[in-house]
Amino acid sequence: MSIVRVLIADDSEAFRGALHELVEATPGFILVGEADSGEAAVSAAATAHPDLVLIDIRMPGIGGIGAAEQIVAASPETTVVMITADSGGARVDQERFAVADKRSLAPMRLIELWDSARPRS
Amino acid sequence: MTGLSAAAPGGDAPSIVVREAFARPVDLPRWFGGVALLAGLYYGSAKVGFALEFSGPVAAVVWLPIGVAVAFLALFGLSLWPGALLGDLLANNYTVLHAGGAVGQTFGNLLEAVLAAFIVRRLMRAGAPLNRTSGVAGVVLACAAGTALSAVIGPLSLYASDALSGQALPTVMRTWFLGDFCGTLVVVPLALAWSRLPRRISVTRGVVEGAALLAAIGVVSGIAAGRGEPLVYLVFPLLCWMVVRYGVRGGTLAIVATVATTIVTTTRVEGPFVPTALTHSVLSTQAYIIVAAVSTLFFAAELAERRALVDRLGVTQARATSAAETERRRIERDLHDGAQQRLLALAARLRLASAMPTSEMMLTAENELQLAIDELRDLSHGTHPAVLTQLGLAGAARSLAERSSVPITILELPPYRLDPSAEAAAYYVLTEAVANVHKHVRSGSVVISISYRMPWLRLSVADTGRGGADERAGSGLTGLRARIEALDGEFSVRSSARGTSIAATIPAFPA
Repeated sequence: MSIVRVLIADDSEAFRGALHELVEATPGFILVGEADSGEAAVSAAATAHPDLVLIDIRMPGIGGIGAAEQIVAASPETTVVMITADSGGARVDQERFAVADKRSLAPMRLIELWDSARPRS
Repeated sequence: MTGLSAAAPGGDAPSIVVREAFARPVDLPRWFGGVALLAGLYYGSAKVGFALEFSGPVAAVVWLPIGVAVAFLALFGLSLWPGALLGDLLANNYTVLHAGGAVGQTFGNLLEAVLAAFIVRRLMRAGAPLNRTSGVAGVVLACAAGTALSAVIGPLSLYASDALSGQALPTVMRTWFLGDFCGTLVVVPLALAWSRLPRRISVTRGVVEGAALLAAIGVVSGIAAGRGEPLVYLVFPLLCWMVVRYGVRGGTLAIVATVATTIVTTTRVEGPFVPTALTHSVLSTQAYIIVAAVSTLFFAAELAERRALVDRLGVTQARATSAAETERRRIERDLHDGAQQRLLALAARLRLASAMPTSEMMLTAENELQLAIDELRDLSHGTHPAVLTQLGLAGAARSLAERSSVPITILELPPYRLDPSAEAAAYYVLTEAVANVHKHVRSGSVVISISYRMPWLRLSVADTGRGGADERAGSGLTGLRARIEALDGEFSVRSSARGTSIAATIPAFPA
């Protein structure tokens, strides 16, 4: 099993902490960066080269969707999973980005998401 | 500037305006022009009265010049009084009057015009007098007061110069008073209402309808005044129609229309106002003019007040709705970004812990839960503190003052409950300001005033501390400003060595 490099982006410090622990507790996943805004996520992705980005849809500034589009445009092999606590997922083009509920995030779910969302080559 | 003076921002504004008015140097060419114009208008309106035979040398059904003088002096300044004097001297009929009597009469007329114009100018400071019933009452009383003065001085000086017999004195005084009163009631409201022209008049259906109504008022007044039977009440529905459709301006035109045709008809044809003796018919005509003018003016003012109130309520309601919407968004955002994220994080941690719980994980989880509880409590406190729900703003302020270790004096409190978002914002400002005082002042005292004049809730907190409050320093003051401005209110802080005062104005409506 290869190592999956993960970048997390959420403006809530509390949830970022939980995501941090989740990634560390998931076998085969390592954390390569944390961001508290869409803009910070774009620049962190450019330097940290993550395989998987877990990004909150609702953030101030360009927001999760805007950041996801820029990340994928810069590096198409990166897989972005939009995470949301409410019905914000309806606004996401689900052909391009996977959407996950914050309430369901657990190590097993993270592995499932990675398996189903990553681009098949 | 002490802290307390900030409690009434703008309180001294009117006096500044008055001082400026007196300081302005007199523009001589303008002044001469004004005097000449007034003299000409005065003389011209007197000639119209003589020509149409509703004015005689000592008595008039309607004495228009006095109305012209009062209106002119009220609108353009009392300093133009020589115009009224000149006009009156020119208009006197010296073939009938002795010089002494004429001088006395002219003096009375001038005094009358200046007194009435002085009162009307005072009334105008508070806004257009004809748009409120108290203003109309003031204008009517001002005209009556000025007129009474002249109606005493004029006939007495004529009597003293033997132009009038003692027997005729009471009748002349009465006719004089009523004639001048009618003149002011016709001209002064017309001038006040039309001194500022409407922004544009286009020939629309409204203008055509107004012109037709005025014509109808003229025709009906003429017919009614020219018939043997008393039919003059027929004019009143038309006067009301005019006021309902065209407000104060329409009302003043309607008065002119009915008065003009009534007096012309009365002086030429026999009507309900000319049953027997001439003075009796004059009295009836004058009584009609006064009743028609005063009723129309009061009706128009009442209607204007109601319409202004409805407009204001609409604005207040729109503000309240948008304030409620802002508040709703704030709560939604606070809930989403705060407690909801904490609880989600907690859920994620518990899921992790469920595999292999450690005491460290449980401690973190409990900590998160505690923070979520704190955030929810803060949120509900910020939204609507329990003390506010139970006691209202006034009660909450009193309770705050009782619990304070620094003496708090309350100058004014709103007598009734206001809408929850305004009360909450005001209470929030109050608690923050008092907390700051406790933190920084310790000795000294605080004065609180909360007043409500629809649609504004005004709140001021002034302390006698050593000042030094700085909004830029990122204190709680910035939060207060944001909270007040989110409600479309105004917030200001003034801090000096003599203390700090905070003033907030919040749109509010009675709950």
